[in-house]
Amino acid sequence: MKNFDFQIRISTVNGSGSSTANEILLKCFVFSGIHAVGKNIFPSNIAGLPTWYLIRVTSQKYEGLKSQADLLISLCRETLEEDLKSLNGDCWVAKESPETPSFLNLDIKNQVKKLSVPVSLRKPLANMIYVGAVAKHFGLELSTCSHVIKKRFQGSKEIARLNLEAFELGYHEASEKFKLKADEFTSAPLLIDGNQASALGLLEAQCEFAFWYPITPSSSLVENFEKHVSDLKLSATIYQAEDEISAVGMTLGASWAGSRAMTATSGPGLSLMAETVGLAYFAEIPLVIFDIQRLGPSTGLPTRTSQGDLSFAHSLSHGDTLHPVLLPSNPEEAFQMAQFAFEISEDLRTAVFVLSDLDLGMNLKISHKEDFQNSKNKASKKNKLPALQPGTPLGGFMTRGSGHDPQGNYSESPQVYKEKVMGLKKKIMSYNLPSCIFKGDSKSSKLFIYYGSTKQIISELQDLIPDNVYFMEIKALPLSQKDINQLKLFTDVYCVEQNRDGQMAQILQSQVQVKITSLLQFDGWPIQADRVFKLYNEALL
Amino acid sequence: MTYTKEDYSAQTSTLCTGCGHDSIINHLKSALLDTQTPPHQIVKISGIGCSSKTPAYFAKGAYGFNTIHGRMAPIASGVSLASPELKIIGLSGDGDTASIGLGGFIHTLRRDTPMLYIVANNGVYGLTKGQFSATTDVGVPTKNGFKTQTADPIDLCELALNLNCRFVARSFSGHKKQLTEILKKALAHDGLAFIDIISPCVAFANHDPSTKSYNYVKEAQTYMNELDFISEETKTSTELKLKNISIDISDSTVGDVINHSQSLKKQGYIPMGFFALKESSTKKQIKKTKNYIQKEAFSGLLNKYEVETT
Repeated sequence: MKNFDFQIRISTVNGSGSSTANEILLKCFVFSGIHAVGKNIFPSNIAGLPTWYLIRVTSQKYEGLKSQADLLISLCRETLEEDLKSLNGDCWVAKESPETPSFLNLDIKNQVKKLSVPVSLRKPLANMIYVGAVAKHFGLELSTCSHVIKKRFQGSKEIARLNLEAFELGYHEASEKFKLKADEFTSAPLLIDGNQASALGLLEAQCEFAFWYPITPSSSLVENFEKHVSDLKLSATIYQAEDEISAVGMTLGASWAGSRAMTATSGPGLSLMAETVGLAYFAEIPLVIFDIQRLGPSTGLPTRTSQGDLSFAHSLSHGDTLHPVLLPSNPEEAFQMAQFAFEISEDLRTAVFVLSDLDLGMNLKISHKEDFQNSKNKASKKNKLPALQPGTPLGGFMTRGSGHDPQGNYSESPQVYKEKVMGLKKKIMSYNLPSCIFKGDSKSSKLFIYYGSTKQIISELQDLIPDNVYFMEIKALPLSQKDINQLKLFTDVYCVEQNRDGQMAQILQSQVQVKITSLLQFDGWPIQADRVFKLYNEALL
Repeated sequence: MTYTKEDYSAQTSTLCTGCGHDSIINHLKSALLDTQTPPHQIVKISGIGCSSKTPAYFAKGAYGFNTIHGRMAPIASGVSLASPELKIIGLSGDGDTASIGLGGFIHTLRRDTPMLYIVANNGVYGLTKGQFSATTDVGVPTKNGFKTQTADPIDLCELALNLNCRFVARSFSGHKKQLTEILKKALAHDGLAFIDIISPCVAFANHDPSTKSYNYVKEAQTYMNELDFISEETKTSTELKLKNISIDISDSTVGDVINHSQSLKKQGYIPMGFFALKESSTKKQIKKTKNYIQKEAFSGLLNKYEVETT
């Protein structure tokens, strides 16, 4: 089948082993040469609540989800009614019941009894039955899938065998309905998420310290870094502080002392870090902070994605502040920007944010090996100015967050203060941050602005929108004057983002006289092109 | 290279005349001069408050960092990990450490960050003009008499002792000889050396019945233990009112020391001297080796994420 677009919605209960099974299913597609995107929608819970996994396979290689599923695998009775609302196709239920329309009955519960396994293993293995059934349904080769399963459980031959057996049960029970055309890989593909990519970036940047406090969804970034450091016997120190105030404080102290240090957090942690960020800004000390955004405000929805911290991070702390914010839109950029953040913060001696989100950070995406090969940008980790290195003989200076003159002496002089803060503003604006990427029809009157993980829907959106559109991908704030001037040329401007108040639009409108129509999806689920297209049509009315 | 008095001086203090903190700094300068600590290897770090202004008043060739209120402790922890060869001197106050900074203080004690941690304790918020701190004693009113402290105070020495700090002492800004000796010993300590120094605030907490006024402290202070460097000349009846020495900290438990401290306090005294003075057998410092990732190792990592094309 040459042209295809299928979305599979798998509804299970968390803690049942379905997450492992779902990832295996995703890999079966990818290893078969079929472009697949997988999204894990998990609850803020350890076991027992509903969880969903969405896999979309498209011949157009789309990277986002759509709002309707074509196939539903339902192992969670509780959410079946809701799941059926977004289904436009077959439903496979684990156990048939009068309420469910007549669908393929997987009968997983009875099938799994065919396997001679202890009761404790029945639940996780049961999931592999539907994995096998879906694989067969889409015409995947058994040899490819069995390779994926063996690789996943390479630690234990017995576990691999049991999983393969369960998989084959489902595989032989189902029948092939579609044979999706596989693609040749042009270069070595990777399946990696943003947090894993950032951790690799920290290694390449020779980051010496990571001070952190666990918070969903940033924990895996530092934990990945820690594992690499330990496996490779590197000398970086990863330390779990008692709270985010201490984590960012220790990062600041280490940076001040001339080492490369970072911290990673999410919204609630960022709120706690605000005061220290102001100190970094005013006292001119390097500071690198990763914010993997989740739905706020307050505790919010810890396991749902968002782009809601943009304005907050950009001007974090009281008083007049403005920080460089890097906006990676895929794992390669998460890798590159992790390194670039250190360079910027050391060159400018200021706080720099890398703003990722749960969707980018925690969902696997197909990337390419060559995007992770870095030799030219090996930035030195040393203090750019030796005179600022504590311990240097004949040095000595005072760093302070209170008003000061250029020598660091305490000062309450109005002129000195004004010169200082104007200088800070000029400093940030003077730097060459990553520019916006423009593409599409430049003669078009319509401009679509987006940033971060929203990039995943753009190619599909371009296909959906009948008009010619020009796209502007923002990679960092503040925008350069050159990019602002480009923006000024358009009158029909849209900004697609994942927050309620259209924060990027607000920031841009404060710099440019332009009316921006916001196209917003902010319910915590990964952004979907067809929904944004619907919003666009509604806006046209 | 011999360092002189000049090397440990800096700008003139802007604190009130008679402020205890100025005496502390003078004694610190003497201790640094005696130990010949190289100024460029000193990190003088503070929070916010009158006591936190003091880094500007000594060792102009040192590296100073006046941070934010209550956060000197974690920031110093970060500095220490990054540059363990430097001598960190942390200056804080009772508001900065016992109120807002209490969490950071406790965890920094757990980490045993190698540094000299001084709390200049005047039982009041001086810079904001006279509010209570967490070390203001029960029954002590503000200077204007408007309010009286009702909550129990925090005893930072007992707290530090509870957290197994190996060097805990209390002193008084007015005690040149004793404090200088304690400071010298503290500078030689390999972990966190904590000193609670009663340091009267002439502007807001020197009134009767403040328990941190010059008069009160001189009358009420007593010694936890025999300090071999308290010479006979300081033991005048007008300066000190010594009780019989009662505890030998070298073989006492934390509980014994705290009980002793509390019984002295019950009798109306301010316990001074050492609460703990222990060497360590385990070095907690991290050895800094330059071991960066090699290209081959990085490629090996990337292979983990590779999709094997069959």
